[in-house]
Amino acid sequence: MTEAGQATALHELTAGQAARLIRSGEVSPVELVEHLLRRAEAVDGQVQAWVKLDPERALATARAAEQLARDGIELPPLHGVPFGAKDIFDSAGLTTAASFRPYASRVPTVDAEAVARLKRSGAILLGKMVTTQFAHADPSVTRNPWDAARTPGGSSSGSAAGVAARLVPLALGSQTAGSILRPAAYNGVVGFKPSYGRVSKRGVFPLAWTLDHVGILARSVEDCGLFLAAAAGHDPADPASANQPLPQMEDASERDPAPPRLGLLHEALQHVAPQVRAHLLDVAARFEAAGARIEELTLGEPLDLILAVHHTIMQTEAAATHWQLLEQYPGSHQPRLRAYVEVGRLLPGVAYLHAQRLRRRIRASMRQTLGTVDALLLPTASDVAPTRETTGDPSLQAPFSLVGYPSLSLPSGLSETEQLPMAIQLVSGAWQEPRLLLTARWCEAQLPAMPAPAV
Amino acid sequence: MAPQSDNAARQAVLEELTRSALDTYGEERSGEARLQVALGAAATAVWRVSQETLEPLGPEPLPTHD
Repeated sequence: MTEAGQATALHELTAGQAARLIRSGEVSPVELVEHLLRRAEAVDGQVQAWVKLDPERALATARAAEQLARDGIELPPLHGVPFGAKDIFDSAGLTTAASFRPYASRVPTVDAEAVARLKRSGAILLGKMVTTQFAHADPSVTRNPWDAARTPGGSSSGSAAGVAARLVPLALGSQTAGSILRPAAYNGVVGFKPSYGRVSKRGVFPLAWTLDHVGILARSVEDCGLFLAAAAGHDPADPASANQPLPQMEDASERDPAPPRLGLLHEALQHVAPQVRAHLLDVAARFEAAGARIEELTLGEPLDLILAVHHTIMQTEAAATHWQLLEQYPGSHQPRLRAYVEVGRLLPGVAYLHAQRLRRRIRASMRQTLGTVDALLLPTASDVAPTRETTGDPSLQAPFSLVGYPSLSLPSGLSETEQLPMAIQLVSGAWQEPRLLLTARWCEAQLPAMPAPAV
Repeated sequence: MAPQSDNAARQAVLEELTRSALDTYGEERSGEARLQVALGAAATAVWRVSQETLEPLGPEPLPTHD
């Protein structure tokens, strides 16, 4: 089996590569699923990315997919490609527990809409991936495959670490503050959060409903586009789902997107470690030398205000989501989440509403900023992955969860001393995912390929 | 360094939240380190949000839709 003339181990295939090889008959879906199940057995003890695999169903689906591939009919874009889902996404017939002990035996009868849409696009659900409890900030059991003493980030910790460790090419994640992009950065994979409302949240356990987004962890920008094409679209059964047509996606096989206009967010550099600042400026210079136009921009509102507005809204909504569960299952919430909910219940209603009104002002400022460029350019995280007592700092991801604009984290190299992944973040205006993905694909082509961690 | 009036205003928010915590969860729970940290972070956020003035805007659209 080859992709672009090179022999490639099955677990190294991206979703797009696997889909093409399945379509051409060079790879069988059964072979791919069996390979990834064996790899889970060999490697996941070190990483702990999977909560639960679903081998029987995955193999049965793979056998059916193989038969369809042999029949020579037109196949859907992700035909036979395995994926994982963060364990807050409902999966029919498969436990969905959100790392919450009282839900250990909770087996949904219906798939979350995002899971269902990926399946309809031909993808095969391999299993459920570790989440921090209810997608909040208490660290999970998952290890960072680059260094077991470091956090994989959160809350989509299993999804990011699993994709990095080549346990699966694609994994669904969710983001309320920075829960897709930050783990992506810490694990050296691509993380993509579409616009708020672009992908249905039906069947996904909420944390803070006006901030929660569904997105993807992957190993290429192309795979983010495949995910978007499969999962996006209005869902009348999700009140947050937007009836917003997806603009024509650029041809995924296009090799040479034009150099973009990028807005370098200098104020973000005041909040990062010196090595991150130096790295981002180096990356920006590299992009400029390759033809990108780079201009300095600001968010239009102070970052501390943006984060305060995000905090007030998220904590109030998380308290509204969880306070009854806290009383129903005393002692079952982890310490950070319990304290967060308890304090959230005390916040004045007027503060929440004032924050929501300020949010509109912030969105308007950012819309103006983003109108002049293809994407903002800033670091994804304030430093490389910290140690495991925390899931990391959401300060540079949360602003774009607040405004609901699409954002993407792209691995951009390894730190000099610790050899840990570093990443850049790109952000475009609302509903501008095709522009964001095209820009990201250009940037990806200028950056060195990310090696696999040694697991 | 934050002006003294800012510190006093944030402290007032913290004291109000701490009183609510005492009333709701009792002395023992309210004194625990984890809750104290959460109270401090929330006080900073609520205080910062309250510093921003907004004119009454009339009918309010949904915050997540243009």
